[in-house]
Amino acid sequence: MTRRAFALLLLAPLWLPAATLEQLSLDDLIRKSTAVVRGRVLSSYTSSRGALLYTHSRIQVLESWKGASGAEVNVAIPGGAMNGFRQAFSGAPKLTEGSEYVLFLWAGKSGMIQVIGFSQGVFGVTRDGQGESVNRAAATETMLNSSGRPVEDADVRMSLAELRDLVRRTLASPQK
Amino acid sequence: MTALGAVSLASGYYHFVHFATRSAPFIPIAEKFDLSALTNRTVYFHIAEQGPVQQATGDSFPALVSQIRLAARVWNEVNSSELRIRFGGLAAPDLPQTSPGIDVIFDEVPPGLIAAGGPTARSEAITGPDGTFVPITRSVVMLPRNLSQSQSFSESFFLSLVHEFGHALGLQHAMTSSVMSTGLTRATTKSRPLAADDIAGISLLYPARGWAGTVGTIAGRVLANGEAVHGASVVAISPQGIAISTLTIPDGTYRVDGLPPGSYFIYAHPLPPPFAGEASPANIVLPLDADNRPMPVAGPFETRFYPGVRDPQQAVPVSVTAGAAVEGVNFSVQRRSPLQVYAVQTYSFPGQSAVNPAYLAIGGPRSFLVASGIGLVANGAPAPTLGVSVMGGAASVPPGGVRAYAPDTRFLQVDFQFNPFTVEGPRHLLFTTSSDLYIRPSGLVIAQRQPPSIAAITPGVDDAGTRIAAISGDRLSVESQVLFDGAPALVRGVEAGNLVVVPPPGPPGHRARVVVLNPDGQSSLFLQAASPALYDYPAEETPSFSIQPASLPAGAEAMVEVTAVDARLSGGNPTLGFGSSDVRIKDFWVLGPNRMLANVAVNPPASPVGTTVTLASGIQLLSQPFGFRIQPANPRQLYLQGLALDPARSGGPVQIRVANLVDPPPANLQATLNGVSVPVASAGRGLITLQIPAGFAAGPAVLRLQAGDEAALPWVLAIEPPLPVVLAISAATPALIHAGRPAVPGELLQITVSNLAEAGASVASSRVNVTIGGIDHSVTQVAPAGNPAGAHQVHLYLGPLPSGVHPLTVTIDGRTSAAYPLPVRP
Repeated sequence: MTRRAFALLLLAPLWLPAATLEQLSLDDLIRKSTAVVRGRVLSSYTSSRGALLYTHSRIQVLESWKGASGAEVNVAIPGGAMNGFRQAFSGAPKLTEGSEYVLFLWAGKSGMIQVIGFSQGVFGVTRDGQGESVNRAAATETMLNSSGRPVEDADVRMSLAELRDLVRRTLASPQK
Repeated sequence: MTALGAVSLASGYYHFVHFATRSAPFIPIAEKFDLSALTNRTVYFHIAEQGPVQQATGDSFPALVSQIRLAARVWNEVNSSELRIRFGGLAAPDLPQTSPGIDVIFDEVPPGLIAAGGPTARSEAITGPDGTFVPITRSVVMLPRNLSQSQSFSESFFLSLVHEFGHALGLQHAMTSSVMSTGLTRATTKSRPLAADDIAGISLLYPARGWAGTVGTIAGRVLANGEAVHGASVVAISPQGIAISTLTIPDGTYRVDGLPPGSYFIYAHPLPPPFAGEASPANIVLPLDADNRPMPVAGPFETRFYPGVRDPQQAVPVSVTAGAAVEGVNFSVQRRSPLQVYAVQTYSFPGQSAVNPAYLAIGGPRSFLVASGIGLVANGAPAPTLGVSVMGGAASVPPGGVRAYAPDTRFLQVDFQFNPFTVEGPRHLLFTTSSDLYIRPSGLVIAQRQPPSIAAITPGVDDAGTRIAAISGDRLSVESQVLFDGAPALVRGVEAGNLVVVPPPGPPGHRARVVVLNPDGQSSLFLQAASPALYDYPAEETPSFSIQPASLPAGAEAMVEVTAVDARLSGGNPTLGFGSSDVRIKDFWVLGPNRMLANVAVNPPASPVGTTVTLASGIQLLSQPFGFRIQPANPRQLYLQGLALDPARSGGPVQIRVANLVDPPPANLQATLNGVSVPVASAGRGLITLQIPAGFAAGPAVLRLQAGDEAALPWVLAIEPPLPVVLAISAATPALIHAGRPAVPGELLQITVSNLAEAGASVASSRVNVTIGGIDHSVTQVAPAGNPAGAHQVHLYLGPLPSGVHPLTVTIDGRTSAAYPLPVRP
């Protein structure tokens, strides 16, 4: 086997489960998001936008790590229930009222704010005797992104402080 | 409407499932389209007319639409499903619609999301002729407005489209490497987009008549440490063939339905844990209880083959027969710590690109695959105690054949040896460690030869002036399918070593990506993914079209005539769409390259709106925003609405429903067919009976009805060809068969039949079916008969039949003759 063969392997795209997703590394999440916040879900409601239902979660912003945000941010996630109808997308994240998350958010031209990469941009925040931590299940193997390059996925089982610091360091460093 | 919990036909398959209660008994109720609410059991999909704002270099909206149509066609062609899926044209955004349908939209989606699909369903179940279900009202396939990173011709994008359409129809993720599996483990291709599991899944939701009697069921229960396991995946797997699966319901029971007769090993395994941000195990939308609360699935347990063994060599196969269920295939497993090995992807290297799924050609240049996944590699070496093997013995992993992939030790390399009798097809891989077992269905696909490739495409014109293309390359044959973007070409044959095809219609000046699909599942994209062959359509006049009438009232049914210029409707699988599920094509006829007739029905509660009319043929895509208008309902307008009884044939009566016909009807009813007056035999109670003149030509005929001062909107009556008539039967000598000279089993019979086909036309024997005494007989030859003129002779050897007079019928293209008495004496 030659090195050339490995290079060929990298041409293969990675399609993540669910909806069809492109895997985003933590670096991607930080850089491609327009805002990163730590917040608590205050309430949720559903609205329609054309053929789509969106579940909107009002997030009380506890910390803002990237982007400008006020005391609250309204995050829209495809799917939901409204007026006797229910729309479901496999892989769409669910934000639980009262729970705390670190959210990697993205605002399009319409101004609607969504979670980046479906579930990939949602990190639950938990507290135990050792403090606050984030607990998104991690991709422990090196995988490939849609451009065929290996995704250097960081361990996301870390303390909240570590994630905060990682976001700040990433934003402060030049893009690779 | 009934409460959840009534009788359901659904199993616990990977559908979007509801339960009436949180305690036993559990009856799964699936979300699905209500077939009884769909004309011709057809659901329309519409593509947002604004399209994406950005596409990849060289890509185009017509090319993308052709791929979307091809993806939908994959589900449309599942014969064991009654649901049909049809392109309803481009659609304006936010159009109010009252009928069920599928919207393909381009929306503002964040990075990381390539496509999504899902059903929109009512919150309550209903009970209809097809059982109890939760009706899907509209479904969505969502694509990004920015498609600059997705080539529409690619294998992966196409399979994503098929996958998302599957969600839109009511399917969830499966664990069998089918198209409804997640992208991590999917093993289908553009050439073979569906696996047996996909076909079973869609057929269980929308079973075709008689299908249930052709397949069998395996049922049982999964207990872990004595407790019911909800959400265990149970897979019936044939070592050298298919895999079909299901999920256990909350009481731990399962039914693997839709199994073709045969022998299967059964294994139960836990769903993989949420992976890299997934919302739930395997990203499955969890079943909902009566309060629409998700019902969580069980945690990990030990994977086991029936009857509770880890080693597949010790597994006991279960034999499945058609129309029967094998009950009591139970599992008692132990709960365990989190899984070590799962989500394994496999790649092969047939040429310059890695291919997923891994196809290996026997005798090909490389006989290994590269795998990545959770738990395969640790510290640059295979995980401790990791072993890889192949189910069924068609291939084996030699000693030392599992190692870290030398160029990059984050991957695993697996070598294979093939036995001399290996046949092509999918093979299932077993990944084992001392504490784990992971089965990857279709982790390896064996092929007899390398993928096809295209060297050059030479455009030309044949003697009849038809545009053709000669394709040179390797491993091309008449069995290959050739796609120009997403539109199939007509394969003419092989001439001078080239595959000669008739390209589908395409836009003037369009550059199409050409891909060859071979029946073994491989495509030219395996070797030419980055640079597919190109075909340039000539820069000709831009085609155009008009329709008449361009508006109809809600509730109306009428003929719409399409007149086009340079449209090349023949040979391009043409479709007329009105951009709304409320405007349905009941039937259509292409009468030439530039003319089409269609019977169109407007849903009675439809809102008065303007819709987009689309005429698509091949890659060609013509549309007229606001080209059609739904008008308010007109309760006085007469509409012809379809046949009440048998098809119309020349010389016979035909009964037609008429909406808004007063009772008693006016005495002076007048009808014409293609301008020829036809007698109205009777009228009343919303029906008229016409007498079709003898000798009236078969084909579409425009029917006009005048009732006093009121004229019905024109409507197309399809005149069917006359039924075949058996005139005489002779033996080869020849000797006319009659009571005094009965036929003898084993002798060659010549059946003289009229109305079989056009006079003098050649007829393939495969089109003709002859039944004698209820037994099908194989037709050896069909030839025009000299006497009487216009008849044909059908030849066959008489099978073993007892003495007596047996009814003989001749069928061609669904038309069956009256029974002819055939005397037989052995």
